Amino acid sequence: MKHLLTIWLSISVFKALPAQELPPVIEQKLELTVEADEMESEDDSYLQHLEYWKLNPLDLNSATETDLQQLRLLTPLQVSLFIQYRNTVGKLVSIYELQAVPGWDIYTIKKLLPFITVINTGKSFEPLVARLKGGDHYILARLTQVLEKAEGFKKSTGSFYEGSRPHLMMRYRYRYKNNLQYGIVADKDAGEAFFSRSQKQGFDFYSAHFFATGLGKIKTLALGDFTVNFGQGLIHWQSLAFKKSADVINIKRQSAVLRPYASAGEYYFNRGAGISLQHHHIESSVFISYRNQTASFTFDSLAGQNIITSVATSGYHRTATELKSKKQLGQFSYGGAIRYKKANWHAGVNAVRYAFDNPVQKRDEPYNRFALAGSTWSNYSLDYSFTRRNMHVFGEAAIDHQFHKAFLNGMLISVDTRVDFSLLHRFISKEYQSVNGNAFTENTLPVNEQGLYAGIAMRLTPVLKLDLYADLFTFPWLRYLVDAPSKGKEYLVQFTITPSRNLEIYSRFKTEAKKSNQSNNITVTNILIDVNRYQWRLHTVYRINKDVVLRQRTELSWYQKGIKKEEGFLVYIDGVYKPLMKRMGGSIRLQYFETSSYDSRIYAYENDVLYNFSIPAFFGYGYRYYVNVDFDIRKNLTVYLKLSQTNFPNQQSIGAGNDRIKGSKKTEIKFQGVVRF
Amino acid sequence: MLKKGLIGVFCLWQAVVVAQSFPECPAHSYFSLHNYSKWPPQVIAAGFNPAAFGSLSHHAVFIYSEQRFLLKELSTYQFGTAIKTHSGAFGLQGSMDGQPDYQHFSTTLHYGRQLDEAINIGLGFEYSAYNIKGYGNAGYLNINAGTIIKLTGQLRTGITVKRIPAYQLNKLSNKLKPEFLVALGYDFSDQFYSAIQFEKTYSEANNVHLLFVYRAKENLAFKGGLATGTPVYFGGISFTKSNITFDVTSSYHPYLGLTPALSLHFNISKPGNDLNDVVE
Repeated sequence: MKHLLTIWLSISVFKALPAQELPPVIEQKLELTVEADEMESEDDSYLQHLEYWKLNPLDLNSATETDLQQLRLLTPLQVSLFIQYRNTVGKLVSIYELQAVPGWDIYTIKKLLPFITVINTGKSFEPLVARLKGGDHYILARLTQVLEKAEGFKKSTGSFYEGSRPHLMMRYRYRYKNNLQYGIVADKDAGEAFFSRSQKQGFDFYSAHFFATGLGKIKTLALGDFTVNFGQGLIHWQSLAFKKSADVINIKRQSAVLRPYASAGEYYFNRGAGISLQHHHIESSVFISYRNQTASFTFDSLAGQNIITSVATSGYHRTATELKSKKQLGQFSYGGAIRYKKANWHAGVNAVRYAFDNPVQKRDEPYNRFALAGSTWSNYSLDYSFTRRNMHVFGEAAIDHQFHKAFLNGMLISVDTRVDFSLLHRFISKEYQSVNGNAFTENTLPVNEQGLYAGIAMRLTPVLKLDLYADLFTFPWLRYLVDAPSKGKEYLVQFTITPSRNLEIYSRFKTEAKKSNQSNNITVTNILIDVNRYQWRLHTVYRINKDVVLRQRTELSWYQKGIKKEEGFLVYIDGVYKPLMKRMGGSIRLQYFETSSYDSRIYAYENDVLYNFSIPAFFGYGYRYYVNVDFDIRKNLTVYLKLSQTNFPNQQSIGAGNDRIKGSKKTEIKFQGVVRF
Repeated sequence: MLKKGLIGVFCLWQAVVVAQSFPECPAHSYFSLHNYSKWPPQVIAAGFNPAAFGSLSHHAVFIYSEQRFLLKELSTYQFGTAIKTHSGAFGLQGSMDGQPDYQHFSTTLHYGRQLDEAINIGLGFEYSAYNIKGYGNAGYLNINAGTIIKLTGQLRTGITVKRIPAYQLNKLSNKLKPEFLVALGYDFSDQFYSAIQFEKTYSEANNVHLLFVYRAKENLAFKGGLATGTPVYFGGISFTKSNITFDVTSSYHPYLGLTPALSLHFNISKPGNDLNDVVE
């Protein structure tokens, strides 16, 4: 009875969460992903899905395995156990029944509550034509600008930004339930021209998509821009994918093969058509795509053609050099997957092939010895998973164009109602290459890595949870700035305390040890030295009342490379005000940070306007504040405003090169309007 | 003699290069971690986070003295008083450090109050002055601010921000360094309390303080802890007789030795008897 009451109260409390308030575990995962990749992603697909589910909660009685995976709040074992439960017992009678699902504890249910519901009508798919009416439209327009003028905007010779300072993004989207959607995205980065100079057609980037599911035998149809996700990411994975985090059990890549793409990021998607067919237990998918990518090149006079040396993922086309690289690499890709799926297991075969207009040849460096080269490339893999009682096993075995091998296998076990265990082994040979791989690895790409990861999540008491993982890995070949094979290790321990429904505190300690070239080396060959990082964070979320949430974080970092030692410190306090049934809400943050240099930087997730997140890296000495306000002008029109400023008192300029700003302050304003109809 | 000389140079370097107030000795600064217990804080503790004045249950005075590393030249003396009113509490504290060749004085006016049952806020207005023989004087006006949030009946957290902003009265003097303290305190029971505090002063190492308090009896408590920035351990005993509390503590630095400290708190009014003692 107490648990039922807890769930009921949680519904009323957590549905009041502000529009862009992510569960703390997701914030952490995004932070650690940005930290690992050292760059923010513009892919806001996940945020769009979460926002959609908040407004249109997912019906658990008709949700497919794929729908549950897309939430990214459930482990593969929990998804599998839920599907088994529903197949055995029948449809859920009410949301309170979730406690009876094996592997679903009260904390899992609380995380899901804002996004789920239980409805007792069956899911039906309307004809395609009928779905074109009755859905929801929205138009979004966003303008972002740094108020201080950077050097790139002041010059008119040499390297300079040819366009204006605002960053503009517009999106139109139509969505009919979760069965059909289409839309257009247009994006212009700061510094890119707009209806002038090199961008006579307006925006620098356009994207359009049409996506439908449940068309009889056609499980999924994707036209325009879409992402493709195979297996565990060893050969091809383009959707948002998390790396290691305090969610130590969620280590398996989970997604449908085809997903719509409606973000402003200019690299991680396909452009063409894709289709998935379902016939009984067999699902088969094929896709075809052609894209012109931005890439650096050199001219090979012997061959009389351009040789591609690197592919740009930032999407910037601001300067003459960046514009010269635009659309230099025509990439034709096609592939498919066949998957046989039963209740508790599946097996699949995946293949993808690429053809490049210009051959690819990376810079002639020792670490690029096995890099992808040539005018064609291909990857093939087998993937599998099965669930037996409290255990879920998954994996993928892949080969590339030159038959180099990669394997990834993992296991999740729920050894007790309060203890879950995860294990993952990867063996990726030093020669193995993929164009769009994204697996659960230390490296950004699945290349040149062997490792063993183990994680354990324990609910020690009803209010205390312990998550920890250990990852030991080796790199059999050289890497960028690491001129020899090397090893590394990483550990994380996190205690999470939830003494009441209004309070959550977690303390996280993370340590990472890798090797790197010695700085200021004067020998012919580089000597490798140890690089150690330690981070300790204390984070508190306190709900004062149903409208106000206070958050406070203190984070310390230590960095050591050889004899060089650095420290970092960050503290912030922020308040989020989001009253139910009121037209206005917002958040405010005050922050101080101090680190010795970029090496001891600290990342911190920030609330932002709807469908946008910000995870800047903080280094140096400074203060930062931001204010977010959202206001419902009318029932279908909402405006969002974010004003942020970072002050570096000891600096006379911020940034470098064309992004350099004179002065010690950097102020950014972001304005967004969303119309729904 | 050499040790005294080195310490003297150290103090001079601190004062001239960074114009920082004397580095807090953990035997003194451990008082700051008392502010996050369910027990009413002592006045000396409230000086570290002015929000704690909002939880004072009586008027009080205190005096404090320490002799750092057993050197007369590095003595510190503090005194203070707190007056509880209907709308919070006011405190006045003064301190004196050093010796005739190098002296530091400070006076701080505090105010703290409860916003509601869960949140205290406070402000401190501090005047600091340095007098260094041969170098001159330096004066500062600082504003310190703090908050304490009662998360549960046993768990409290607080943030203190010091010297933001800081105003130099003498243009020749260097800027004071801002300081941030974030603390979390937990009352395991009526007998056992523990707290952790993260402390960051600009351009200095990260510092973490840990405190453990065991109340063997109602009027006897044993305390211990450590600080990590410069590894230091401290321990102490607190004894209460009637309205007076004696606190004897000592900290230990591996190279520089012991720092004994003594404090005396005197409650002018009885705890909880506010109606008779509140100043109109």
